Amino acid sequence: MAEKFIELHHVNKHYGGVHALKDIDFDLNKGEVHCLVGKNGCGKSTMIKVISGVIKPDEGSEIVLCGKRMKSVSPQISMESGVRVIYQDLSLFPNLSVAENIAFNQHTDKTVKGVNWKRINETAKNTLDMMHISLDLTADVSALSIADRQLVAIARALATNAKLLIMDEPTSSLTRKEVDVLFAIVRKLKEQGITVIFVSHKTDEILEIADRITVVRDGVKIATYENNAENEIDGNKLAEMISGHSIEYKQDFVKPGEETVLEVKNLSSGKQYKDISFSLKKGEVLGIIGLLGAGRTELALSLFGMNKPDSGEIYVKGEKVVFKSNRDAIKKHIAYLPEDRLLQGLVVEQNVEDNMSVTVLDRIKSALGLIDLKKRRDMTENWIGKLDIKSAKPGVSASTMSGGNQQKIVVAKWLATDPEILILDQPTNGIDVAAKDAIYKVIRSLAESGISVIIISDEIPEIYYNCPRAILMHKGRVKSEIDCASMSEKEFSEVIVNAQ
Amino acid sequence: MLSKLKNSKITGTHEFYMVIALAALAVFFGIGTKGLFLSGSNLLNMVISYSYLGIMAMGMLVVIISGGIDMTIMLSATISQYVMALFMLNSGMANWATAILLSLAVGIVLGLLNAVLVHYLKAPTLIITIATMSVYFGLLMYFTKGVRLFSFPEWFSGKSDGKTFAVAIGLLAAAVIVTFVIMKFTKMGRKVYAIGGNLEGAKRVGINILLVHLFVYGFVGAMGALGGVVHLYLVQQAAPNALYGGEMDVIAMAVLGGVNLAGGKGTVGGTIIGMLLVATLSNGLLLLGVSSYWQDFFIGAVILVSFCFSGWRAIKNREKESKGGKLDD
Repeated sequence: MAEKFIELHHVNKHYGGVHALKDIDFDLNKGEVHCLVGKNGCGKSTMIKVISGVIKPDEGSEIVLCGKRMKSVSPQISMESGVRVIYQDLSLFPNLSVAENIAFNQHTDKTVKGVNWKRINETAKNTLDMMHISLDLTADVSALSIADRQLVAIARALATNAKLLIMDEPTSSLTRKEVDVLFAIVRKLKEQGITVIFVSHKTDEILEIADRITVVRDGVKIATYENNAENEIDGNKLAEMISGHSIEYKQDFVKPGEETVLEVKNLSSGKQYKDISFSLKKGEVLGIIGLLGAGRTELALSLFGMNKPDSGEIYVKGEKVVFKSNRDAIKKHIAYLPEDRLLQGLVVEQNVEDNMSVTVLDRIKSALGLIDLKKRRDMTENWIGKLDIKSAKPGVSASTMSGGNQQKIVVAKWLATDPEILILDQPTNGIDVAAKDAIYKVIRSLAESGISVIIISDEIPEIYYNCPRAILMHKGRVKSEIDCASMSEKEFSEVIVNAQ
Repeated sequence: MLSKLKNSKITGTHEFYMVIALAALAVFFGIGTKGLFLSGSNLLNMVISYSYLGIMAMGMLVVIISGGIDMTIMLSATISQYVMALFMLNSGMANWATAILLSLAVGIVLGLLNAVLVHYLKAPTLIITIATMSVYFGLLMYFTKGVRLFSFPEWFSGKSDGKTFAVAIGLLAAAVIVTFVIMKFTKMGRKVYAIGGNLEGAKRVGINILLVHLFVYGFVGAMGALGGVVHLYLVQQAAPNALYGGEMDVIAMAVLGGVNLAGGKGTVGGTIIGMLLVATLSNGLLLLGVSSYWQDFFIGAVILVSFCFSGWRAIKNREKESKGGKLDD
């Protein structure tokens, strides 16, 4: 029997009328990497909050932390036991240096007197050495890439003698290369006896890094799997466990029309991308696959008028266009769904109706030039129905909705502009398998109605099962054009991996 | 040498460009006034007459770094001036030390009131402090009935060059050094930067936000009061509206010095440069015989140019980073 870091026995949690955790039994071996997976809102976060002491479970729950039996974990005990949560937003101080962020604990530790910059730098340096990485200690965190910020957040946890690191979706905005660096560090931490809880939606990454995997669904622990050579679990089974019903992907493409709606000829932009040529037919779903940093987002922004190319031509329905801004692109019925829906696509503080109508305020005006509230309500309800956005009412704040539903609201917002070309940049980043499936169904029905769709992604199955044709981008160039229908997923995957 | 300079960290900073702008202005006014502007006595007088605003700018710097702003600073100064003036006129115990201490105490109390409101109301500090500014001004006018106080005891009213220098420059230097040390070498100073950079993150690492707010607004109250002491000494009378409106000059100093109004960024050195810029502009224009109405215009214009310039540099940097160079073949 491995030594346990923490055990949860019969842990229940009610929030008002909602039973968020139902009789959870869960344990962590010391020094293991344990992946916690499940849909958004399944109870993962609540479990993490119980472990880190942010919330108290119901009466009758029992927790054994480092051999000590208790009814609930207090924030102080959790801190003293070395539990450190790295939130998705990282909670760093962007205006302070790397060194000060890592050693920030010295400012809040009452046993430390004053500010000793020499000691701050030493602590930071030693911690980074322990992780076998180097960063410019004097740089402001705001100047770092997301990946490097993540490393700073990990270093800050380690600098305070972390025993259990809880990472909440750490890979959602990292390139594959950066994920490799992160995983190498996680493995090193494991060797040093540090326990890691890893929350992620990406099944391939989970299977790569996990020692054990626990699936949670609707507040119930479904199972804990050993992730070993005997292959107790694979990607499909995991997806099935998470969603509660089998999700079987199959290629079922909509046949594109004859008309070419978009043609790009020799488009280049600095060191972002070079010599890009492709065409898009009416009702076609075209994939652009390539790693983060391959130039795909920059290309998409150029097609949407937000990143002026240096040379090359863009034709919409045979007519040459030069976009001065995205207003010009919207006039040509091009819509773009950004990668980071929360930052760029959604005003989270506003309600569903405000979000959906913001792109079409001109069209829902009354005779007086004011917004016609009735028209707006009808339009919103129409899209809620069409996209099957559960639990969405026009007046509900977008911030209260799950990731998948937020993504659908952003889709609706752009569909309301009546687009002919819809560019989806990483449409399912950070959302769970069930919500993904719903988004794919929406894409298919859009194609059926004659809208041409470009999907930008680095997830192989996403491209393979949705796009009859895909363009592989690598380091700013088109490496090849792939006919997805002509090969198996494995063959497709090999083509992609070999090209990189 | 030049290329070395180009690559060094100093040349890229906001402060570096502000020093260049300051030098250019000084040369311009020097030539325009046939050397009068650059004369030692003019420069000294200029710094002396702006010293009280410089002291207040130290307080403003700290509150802006914390992510807030304090519009009541001139009222803290005026109210403590009145309390100090009444004390000097009526008490035998009044001397430099007790008068300054009393004045600081009044400023701190007024600041703490702001801190409590800012902390618990969670409304924008601009709105809260504009409201308290109005309340304080109304009370001040009611209680003073607009009466000015003057004829202070000899120890305060007797002036000499040496004494004026000691009071104005001495207290300015003290304010600068204290602010620098607090912001760089105390935990409280670093916590101010932390809450200005990421308030939510600061809560998560266990910083007591209320304490930091109390410190920040108490400090700006104290700096307002100290500036008030210097101003009272320089003009030798307490008047309810003498300082009213001057908070814009104080904010201009901090902003020209590179303080980020969104919080988290700002240096003592930059704010001193900002103070010298505002002082140079006003003094230089005055010597050129330009109407004082135009001074506000030029200070506003310089702030706009400075913002445009930093915005333009940020855009250029971003472009260089994302597009610069060529793709490898």
